[in-house]
Amino acid sequence: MLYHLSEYLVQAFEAAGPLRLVRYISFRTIVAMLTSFLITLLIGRTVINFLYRRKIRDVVRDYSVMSVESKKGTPTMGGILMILAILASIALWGNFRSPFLYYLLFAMFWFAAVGGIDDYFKIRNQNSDAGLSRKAKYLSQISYGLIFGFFFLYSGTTPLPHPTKQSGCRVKTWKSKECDKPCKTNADCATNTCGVTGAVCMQGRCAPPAACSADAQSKACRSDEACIASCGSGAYCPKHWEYPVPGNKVLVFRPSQLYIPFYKFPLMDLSWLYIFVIVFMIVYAANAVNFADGLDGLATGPTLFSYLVFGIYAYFLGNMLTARYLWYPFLPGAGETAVFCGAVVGALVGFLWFNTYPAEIFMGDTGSITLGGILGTVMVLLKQEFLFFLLGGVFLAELLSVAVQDWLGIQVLGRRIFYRAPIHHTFQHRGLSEPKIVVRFWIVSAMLALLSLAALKIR
Amino acid sequence: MEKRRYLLTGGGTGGHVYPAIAIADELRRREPDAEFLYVGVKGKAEEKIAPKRGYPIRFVSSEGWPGARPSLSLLRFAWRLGIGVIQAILILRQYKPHAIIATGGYVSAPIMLAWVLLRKLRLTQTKAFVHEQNLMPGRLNLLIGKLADRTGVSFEESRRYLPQAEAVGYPVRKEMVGVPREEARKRLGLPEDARVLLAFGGSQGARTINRALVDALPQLLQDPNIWVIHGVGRLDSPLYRAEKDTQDRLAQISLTEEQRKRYQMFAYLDPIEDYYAAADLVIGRGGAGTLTEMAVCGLAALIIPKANLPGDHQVRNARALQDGGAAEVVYEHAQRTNEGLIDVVAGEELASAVAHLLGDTERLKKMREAILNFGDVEALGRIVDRVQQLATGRLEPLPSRPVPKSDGPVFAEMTGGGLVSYLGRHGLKDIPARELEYLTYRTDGYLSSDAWQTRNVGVKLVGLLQLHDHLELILYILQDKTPASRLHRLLGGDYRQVGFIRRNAFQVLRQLNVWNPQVRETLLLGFEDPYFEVRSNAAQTAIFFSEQIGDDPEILAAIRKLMMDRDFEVAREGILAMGHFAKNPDVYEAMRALYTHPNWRLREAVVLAMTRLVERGVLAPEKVAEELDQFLLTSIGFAPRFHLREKMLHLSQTLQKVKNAVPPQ
Repeated sequence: MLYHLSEYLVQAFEAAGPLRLVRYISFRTIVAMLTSFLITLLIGRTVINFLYRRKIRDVVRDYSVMSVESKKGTPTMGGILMILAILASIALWGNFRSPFLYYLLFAMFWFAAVGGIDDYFKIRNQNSDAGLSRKAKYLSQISYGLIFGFFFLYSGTTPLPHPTKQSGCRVKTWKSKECDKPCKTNADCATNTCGVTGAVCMQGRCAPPAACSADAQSKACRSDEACIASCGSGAYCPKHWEYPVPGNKVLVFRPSQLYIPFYKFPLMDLSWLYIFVIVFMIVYAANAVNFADGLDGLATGPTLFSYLVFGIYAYFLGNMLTARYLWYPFLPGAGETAVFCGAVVGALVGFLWFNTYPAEIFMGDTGSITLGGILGTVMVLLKQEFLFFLLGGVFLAELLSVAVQDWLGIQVLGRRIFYRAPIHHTFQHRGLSEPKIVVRFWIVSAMLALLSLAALKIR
Repeated sequence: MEKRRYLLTGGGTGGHVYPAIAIADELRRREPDAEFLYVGVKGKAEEKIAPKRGYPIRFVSSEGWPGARPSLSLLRFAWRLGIGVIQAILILRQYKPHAIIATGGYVSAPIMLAWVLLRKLRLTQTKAFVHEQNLMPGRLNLLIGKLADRTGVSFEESRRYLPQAEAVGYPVRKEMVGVPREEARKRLGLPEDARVLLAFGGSQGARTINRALVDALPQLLQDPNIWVIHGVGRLDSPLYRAEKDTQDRLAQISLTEEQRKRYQMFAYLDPIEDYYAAADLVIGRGGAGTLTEMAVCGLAALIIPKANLPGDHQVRNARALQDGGAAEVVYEHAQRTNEGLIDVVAGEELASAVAHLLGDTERLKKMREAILNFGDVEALGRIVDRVQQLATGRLEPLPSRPVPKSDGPVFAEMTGGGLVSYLGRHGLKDIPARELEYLTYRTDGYLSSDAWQTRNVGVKLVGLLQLHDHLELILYILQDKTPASRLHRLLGGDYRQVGFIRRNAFQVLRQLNVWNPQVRETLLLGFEDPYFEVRSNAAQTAIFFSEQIGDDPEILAAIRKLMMDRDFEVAREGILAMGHFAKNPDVYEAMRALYTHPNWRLREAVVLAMTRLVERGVLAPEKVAEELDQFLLTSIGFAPRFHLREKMLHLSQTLQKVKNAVPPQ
């Protein structure tokens, strides 16, 4: 709301000029983060008390025999706290003209409903096995994946560029040797710039005309003439959404292309089969966070780092200059995802305030499935799905250990392969205390986050 | 009147076919011009029986339920059943029967599913009558029984599973009853005053009965008055060839010429009613069909129920008769043979049971009278009434009746896992001896299973039920080093008796609490086991038996090796065991290396073991006091103390104390 209000004020009153700041994604990301953090702190205590009084916890049946070491009775469903904070923050700072925002909000509501129902049944029956059946959980996640995948891939509704959408103006012959020559001033580039007039000197090298580098290149063009008018003689209006890659080539971008980290080019175009990748990643992400949610703050930390890294990716990919500089396909509007990630990160930090060992509140499936589901949506929207196997290495370890232990070990071989699964229970069994394990998992995921940021450049 | 058309389906085994035939025979007697069609699966029992009795047969494709796990056989099941349903739809559309009579078994699945489909789409006028023979309805009848126009069950108790069903009884063919004994004996060439024992395991035959009977023969035939008639059955599968196996076994025992004359062996007994009439005592399986036939004919029966059937229905059938004083029951036991663990009944056990019964004419007579109470001669007529009423649309709806309830836990209805958790929670108290006998029998069934998951349940039950006579089996399991399949070994498996089984077997050794040289040998094997949980359990077992073990250098050396195990869980148990066993202060050397071990749980174990050693006077207190300083004391594990909860606990306990101190006015 503040975004749209300031937009109106800037247009209407000259005095409101400084409010232009609100337009910038970097600014909105940071204030969204702070806002959701402050909201969690402010309403946290109230929510905890509310949940406790509504008996959203394990009820202690007999106080005269209760354990003095366990945390039994801690209120759960703390995901509600985060969801409220994210909603409020996005309501204030979100750009509701961006399709990305609607995709993310849809994901949030869907998974919050699934997780909420699951928690509700568990609490009503005071039995952690009484929630939604495994089948129902997977079914809900798969159906979300199918719905989301359809809208994501269908040319009429995809938020990403699509071959059917026209891209901005391009400069035809910008060969490195001839055009990309060293320069000191714009005058050095005026001559012999591969037939382009008005080339400029940027960072010691000739670059296409500035006018072309900004608006004209990011907004869909109408005709070659219009492009020549704004960019100079070498410009044209391409038929497809193209983006430059090294070697003076351009590639046509499609939402169904498969990208992997540390490699610049798309592996292949899966077309409609890509929907299976989407479904898999959604189910994987939702369950990954769900499984990791076993110790105080264990899910919160790695999730926070994941959102942080994806937020940074979203910012870079949604900005034409940085996307082009890093040889990524520019995804106009994707910057809005960064604002959303910022709001989630703020809410997670605020939640950690209460959730860190010893926890005063658990996120429950309401939190873990929702956070995982949104995370899955974010990485598909940014086309960085496979980065999550590196970035979320902690989640991978948790899921793999459960799969190997339960399926291979207990079902087939009739033996344990790990002492306990998920893997954090193995560490507990080996005698590590809970806070020690949690902080070590945070450290590992922070290092993986750094590696993942490096993947931004190292390709 | 229009000629009525009846469609019969059900089968797979004779147990499902004969009831359908019995119903059809009676229908044909009442309506001589009615048409019949039998629908079955090629290669199953119905293929031979139905045409022989004059019923035309058509085939559909179907297959037994392979279990809900995703597998190739599940796919094949879906495919075959799908084809079968389509075939069945065509048959129903073509033949347009007035009524379907389904007697269960997967053979009847295509017709019944097709009928349900057509009925839901209102494309058929056909009525369906389903009959369930066993106490515990089969999977298909549980489903179809709820949708059929009328469902008949043989026992009132079955209505616990199918409340909408009507208890109509079990249809027995009319010819069964009333064959005079003298005529039957004359036809079969048996002396009039002989004591005749009839033994058979259904149309297919039963390995347990065949083998036990042959083993019992030398003892039985010593009595010159006893004649034995043996129906071995037609089963000829790679796993068990009834006739050949029996012949081989017969060759191993020595019988005199005269004794051989008194033993007659047949592949199958036809007509069975003659044999029934001639027999003084019958040994048979506990299927509802056999039992009802015996009851209607008023025979003295010794029942050997088959283990591991759905709901254990044979055992429950048999026990119902036993409770009424109408039959004797002999259970199978798991025994170690060169075919692995299989279910057997010992020859001597059977021989003495039979000899005892045949010698007690009074008891036989009482049994014969008692079993007649269980035979319901009206059943067939009642069932055929229902079918005819259905076909003419004159069947009255059933009034609602209360569903029978059972009191106390019904062990027969519990799964293996259910039994384990029930016994784990409630222990052995309040379980009557008869139930214990049954549970032992269940355990034996599990122990002889091919699936390790099932065997594992059996092992656990041995401990929970305190079956001391199974100690040898447990030791056998622990010594069994048959390797697992190559694929399993590649993935990290080791032996056929998987890690969990071996681990649990050691727990059972502790529960049984018996120490003998064999247990010692097995324990030594356990220390060398490739699976860590087994090694650590072996160490725990050693501690458990520490008094009996005493001063055993071999065990001490093995435990010393365990202390250095690469697996911390095992090393920990090894160190703790060392605290119990070490006799010399030289254990210091081994323990000293662990004072600064990175895993504090090993250091903790060292401290515990040292305490134990000082208490036992092995280590000198002064010497240990010197060592203390060398310990790495920092640890990354701790147990939290929540002070608020402690005080709360205190308050709550105080509340109770005060409440108890002041008696209510």
